[in-house]
Amino acid sequence: MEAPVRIEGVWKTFGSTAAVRGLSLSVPPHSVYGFLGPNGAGKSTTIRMMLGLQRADRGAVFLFGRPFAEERIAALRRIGSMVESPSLYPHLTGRENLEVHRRLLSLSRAAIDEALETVDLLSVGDRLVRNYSSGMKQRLALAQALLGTPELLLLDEPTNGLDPAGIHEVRTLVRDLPKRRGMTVFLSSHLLAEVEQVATHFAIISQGQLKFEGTPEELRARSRQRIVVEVDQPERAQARLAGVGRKVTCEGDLLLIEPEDEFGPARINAILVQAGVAVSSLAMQRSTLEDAFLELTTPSQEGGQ
Amino acid sequence: MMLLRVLYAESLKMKRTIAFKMVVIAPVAVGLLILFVAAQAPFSMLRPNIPGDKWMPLAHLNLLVWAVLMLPLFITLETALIAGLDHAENQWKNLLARPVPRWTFYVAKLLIVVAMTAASTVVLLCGVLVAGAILPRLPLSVEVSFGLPVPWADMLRLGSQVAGLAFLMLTIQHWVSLRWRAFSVAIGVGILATVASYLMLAAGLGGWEQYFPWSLPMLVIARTPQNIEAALWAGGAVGFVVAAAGCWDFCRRDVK
Repeated sequence: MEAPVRIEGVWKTFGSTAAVRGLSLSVPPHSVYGFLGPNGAGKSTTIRMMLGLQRADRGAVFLFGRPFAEERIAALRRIGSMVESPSLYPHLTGRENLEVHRRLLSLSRAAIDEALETVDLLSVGDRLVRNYSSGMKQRLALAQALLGTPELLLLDEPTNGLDPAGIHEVRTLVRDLPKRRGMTVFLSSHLLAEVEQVATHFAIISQGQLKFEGTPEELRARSRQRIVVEVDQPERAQARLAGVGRKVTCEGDLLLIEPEDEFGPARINAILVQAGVAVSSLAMQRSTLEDAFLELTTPSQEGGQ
Repeated sequence: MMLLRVLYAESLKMKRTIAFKMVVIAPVAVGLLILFVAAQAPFSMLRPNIPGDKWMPLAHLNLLVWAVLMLPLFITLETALIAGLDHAENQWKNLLARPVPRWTFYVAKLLIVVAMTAASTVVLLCGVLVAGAILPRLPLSVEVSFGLPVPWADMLRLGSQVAGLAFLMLTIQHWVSLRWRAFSVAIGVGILATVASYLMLAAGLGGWEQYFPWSLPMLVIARTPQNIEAALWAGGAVGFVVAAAGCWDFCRRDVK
């Protein structure tokens, strides 16, 4: 089955600033694809190029296996999107806001009720949007994106401005869409925590470049392990381990040590005990997804990526 | 078909806005003003010393105020309002991500303002009929007659010429309104250009300044005979070029 989204070497420059630099990625069908990166990493620009709102300077976007630049209308017929903050007509009701898009999409009127019901706004659909709370506006924008049950849903920071209950609702909805409706969801966020519970695949970008693409398991596998030791004399322990060639980071009473085959937890423990250092705890710790995310997205001190 | 879909969607967006109401409010305001002035000074306004019905002098008066002042402001406001509906909250990122060609949005909005301009001119002419029915019943200082048949064809011809000559100004205002997000830019351009055209009228039309886009509708009611047909063709042709250039610019621009 064709990848719903495939991007090949896309560049986008604003003035002298390159917002997206040679980005390539591929979104598997029926996945929830978490598109992660810090603010200003180029996520929204990428999504805008996927929707034809902005033109790539170089490279190509393929949607459903076809070049987007050549078959824009056909591709957009299969896409629902919500880019950044909700864009709604405040002087119209929720239902009328959806009606504007229903008319553009030439859908049946039943599609409006279906979308409102999905986001739990059916009972307030006839209320003017200017009287909606920010959470309700966010859900209405989501309903707008879901109108006509698209095959691909592009959501850019969909939980911005939502309270915890709203975030939970959106998360549940997004998680269920591939199963319930066979959709592929492309979900951009700057918050790993928001995406990691629902995403089946990740892409991480920083400064317009792809840093990682794969499953959460693959991201976890990249993450480093370390031995965390709690001792009574950290300086002495550090000096002893340095004496046998181990690089140790000291954080209070904790020593953080990079493991190696010959310097596993048992050997480290033995060295410290022999040196007269009391070890109160010793554990292997794998860095979290968040650590891996930060490591990938934090520019190095040398000025590299 | 696509264009009809967009027109259908555009019409809903204007619900509860002043855009549709202005089609009636603007010409009625002109009609009431002329009725008031004509009732106060019928001699100078309606020239009762010249024999015959006063339908055409009354229509001229209405169209004069309409062409000089209200029509440019009406077009400025309507184009800015209709573009502003989608500039506000950056609706473009939703609309232009729909499976609809971009040009249809530009053309649909243009057609709506053209239709509104035509409709408001018709309302103005209807106001002339109402004023013609009221004036003879008022205790005027001179006698004026508004007999039958009403010169429909002449009044409609004058009205459609005024509206037709406004097409170039309309296409410029439409482009400005869609090109710049700030409401103040479109309104500022419209007001400045209207004032400029008024000053040109005060200085006396006759030179190149009569072809200033905001002055064109005045050619119809100018005292010296003008080649209206040529102006209509030229204004229409340049208007189409401006509309096409504006549409091209709209279609190729990135959405922020």
